[in-house]
Amino acid sequence: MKNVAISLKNVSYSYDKKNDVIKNVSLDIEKGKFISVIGHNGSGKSTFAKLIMGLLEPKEGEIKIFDLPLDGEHISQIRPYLGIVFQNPDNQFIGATVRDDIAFGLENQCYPQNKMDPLIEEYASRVGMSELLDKEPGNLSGGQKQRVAIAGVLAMHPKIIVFDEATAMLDPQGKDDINKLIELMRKKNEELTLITITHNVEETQTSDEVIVFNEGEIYMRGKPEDVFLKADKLRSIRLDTPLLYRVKEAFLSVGIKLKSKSIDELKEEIWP
Amino acid sequence: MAVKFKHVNFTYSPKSPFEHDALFDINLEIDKNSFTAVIGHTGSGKSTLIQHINALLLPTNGVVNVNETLITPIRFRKYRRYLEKTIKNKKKTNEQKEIARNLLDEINNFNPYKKKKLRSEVGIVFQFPEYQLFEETVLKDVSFGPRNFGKTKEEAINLAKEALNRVGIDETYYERSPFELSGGEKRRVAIAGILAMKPSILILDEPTAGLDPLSSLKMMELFFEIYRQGITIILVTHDMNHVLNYSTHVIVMRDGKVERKTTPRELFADLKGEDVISLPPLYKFMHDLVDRGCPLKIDKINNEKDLARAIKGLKGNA
Amino acid sequence: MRNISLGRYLPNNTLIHRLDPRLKFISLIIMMSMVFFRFPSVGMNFIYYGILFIVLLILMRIGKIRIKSLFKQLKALWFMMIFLLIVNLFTYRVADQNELFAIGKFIVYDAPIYQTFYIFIRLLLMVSLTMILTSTTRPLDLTSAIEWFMYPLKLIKFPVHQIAMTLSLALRFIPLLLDETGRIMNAQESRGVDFKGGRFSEKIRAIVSLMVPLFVTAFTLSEDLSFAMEARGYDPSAKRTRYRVMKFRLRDLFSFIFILACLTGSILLLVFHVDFAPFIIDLFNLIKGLFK
Repeated sequence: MKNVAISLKNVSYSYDKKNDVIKNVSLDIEKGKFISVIGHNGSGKSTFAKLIMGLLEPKEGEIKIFDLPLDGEHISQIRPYLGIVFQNPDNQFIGATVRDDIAFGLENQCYPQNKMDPLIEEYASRVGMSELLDKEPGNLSGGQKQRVAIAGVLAMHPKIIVFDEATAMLDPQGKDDINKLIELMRKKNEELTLITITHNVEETQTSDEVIVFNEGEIYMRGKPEDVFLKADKLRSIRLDTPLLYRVKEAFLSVGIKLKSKSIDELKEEIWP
Repeated sequence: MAVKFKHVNFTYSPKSPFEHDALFDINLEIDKNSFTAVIGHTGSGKSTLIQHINALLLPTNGVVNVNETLITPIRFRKYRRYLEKTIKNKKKTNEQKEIARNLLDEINNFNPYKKKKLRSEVGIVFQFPEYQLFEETVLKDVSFGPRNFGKTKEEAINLAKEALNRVGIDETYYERSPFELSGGEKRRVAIAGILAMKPSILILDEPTAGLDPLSSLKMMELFFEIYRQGITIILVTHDMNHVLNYSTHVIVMRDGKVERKTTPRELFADLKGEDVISLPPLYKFMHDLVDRGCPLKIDKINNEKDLARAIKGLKGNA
Repeated sequence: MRNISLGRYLPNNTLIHRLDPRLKFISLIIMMSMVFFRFPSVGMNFIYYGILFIVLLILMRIGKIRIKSLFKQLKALWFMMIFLLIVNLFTYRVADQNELFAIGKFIVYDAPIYQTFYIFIRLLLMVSLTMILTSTTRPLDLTSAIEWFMYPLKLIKFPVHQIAMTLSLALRFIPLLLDETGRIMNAQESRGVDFKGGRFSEKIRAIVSLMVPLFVTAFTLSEDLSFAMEARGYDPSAKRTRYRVMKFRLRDLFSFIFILACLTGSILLLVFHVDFAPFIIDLFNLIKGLFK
């Protein structure tokens, strides 16, 4: 099972001990893949993120990261492999300045003080924040704060990174910046396992796999082209399909079958 | 005309180290019973603009006319005297005198605003409004607004029930604590709190932020329904889908100035480079097709199906 | 709501900015204590305070702190001082006071007036000293200094690191919570709340409508923060390295020696009842004589 990064077996979770927010979920996520997790608000996606990060303990079932059980005994061993970027840009910005925030994770890992600066500057530049290293969060936009969060996570060299609705609170420019950054991360490091949790289906098209959550269970999973063809099933649980599939569906309804697999191909096909 | 801005300037913290000019010579009118969208980049002044409409902020200069009453920078009579002095002042330029004359015109034709009355007529739903909930029960929170504006307890409760019904919150919720509700339910309760005030002007600042696509749609349909029953709606948004599907007018803000006032169709007909990011995916797609030489009439196409038919038509004729 | 400009950290690279925060902290305490030294003769007191004031002005110049903002604070003090003066005139009695003049049956002595003035000067000096510290030291560095001073408490198992972390988080999030307060006030004012006027019962309602959402925000923030910190490997009880370190340098040593010298000098002046007043008066008369 060396290829499996994350493994869940019969995992359930409840916040109030009455209703299960995650119901008996089992799934494996392969190393190096880019997975999108979608689902309506309250379907359990964020709880799922916190469970695999070891921030919440399952009521039942077992979670393994790279074959190590995610429990109190092993958590400190597994932590360095995991990184997460949360939705609220402010509520995860801990340092007084950009520098201090990126340094936070390094401090926790007991990284030697005299080696921190080059690392901080390296990762700040990777997310395009080199000019703003001494800025306070109050003077940064949402998108900039999220970039700092990403730099902070990258500086700890994790093997798995989760983006928990990381663009939900950003304006269109911010959303675009972060999505481009994620694509860049993916290209630069093929070993990295990336999981984005979102309800914006347009962001999911380039992923290796889409997992659809509904009411705490896995409703569907598969490659984007397989999942999004089932438009009716998705709409019945308050989700929609990306533009590519909606266009193909619409053309099919007037009798034109399109074969393209991407938006660019589609433009070519419709108007060569 | 529901709202009129005349030569409005606004500066945050004047004469302090934190001084910041936010609005420059704003002149605009928002038509009564229109669904007006206000768009622009973050920092373009949209939030500052809407806070003038219910006098949360007073203009640093200029007047705001809301429902035929005037909001002035300083006390009404003092401002009138100031304007009269400006017109007579030889040191002022002709342009300044003209502006003063313009403003004096408004002052002479309208009365000063009354704060409580204005606040009951102009309802603002701020971004993430669920954070304003504080009462012990849902019903109490929604009746908070009407109570503040002089309604009796019974009247307020009736208004609250009516508003809750409109947003789809039924009786089983009335006595529950707002804090037990889900995010979406909280938001609807907060919105009901504003609707219960029965405002004649409803201002919405990104009402669907953070909602999933279906909830977002349902919410906009609700606002559109309220609009159709007779109200002026001002919608501040980044979501171009909303602008396209619901608004009758669009005001574009840039760097604290009004760039233009137009209709949604005209707006999408000609777009500038950076604004393309916020275009709904379908419209970006169509723009790209047009760039490739496809003679699409973008403003006639509302959804993917329309597009399919249009293309079929074009190809059929080829 | 972020306009608390007095005493706020002003980024710069002056000598004082570059001093070790611990040194500045200790110096503040030492100089504050010097402010309370009291000499037997009135003249000497004035001279002493005058010297202290000049030293402070020099420090403010070095630290490029705007002296104007200090005087803005004075405005508030005036009323307090006049009130205090009146109280003292009626109540302050000392053995060797001198009569100045009389208003009917009421005798105005000099001692209360001097006393009031001393208090005024001391307040001024203390405010200036504190301002020098806070304007030239990053809040974060101040917490580092405080944490360092608390180290001995570790012996009695006092959670020094955790308190320091809490302090720095508070500093980081106070501006945010202030902004949030403004936002909540806007929302409630738009629903008809009047934060300024209104009857007592209305005022209570108004405050509740502000406090409850603020607390909710603060708790949500705490929860999110704890997840974020834990996810980044924070363990309050575990060892961790520090990005920002304080280095006690030569300039800090010299500054410390200087401060100690001032303290020692002042103590000596006090202990030996040194009085420069007659000397200054003689000098003054001499200069006057030269111009005649």
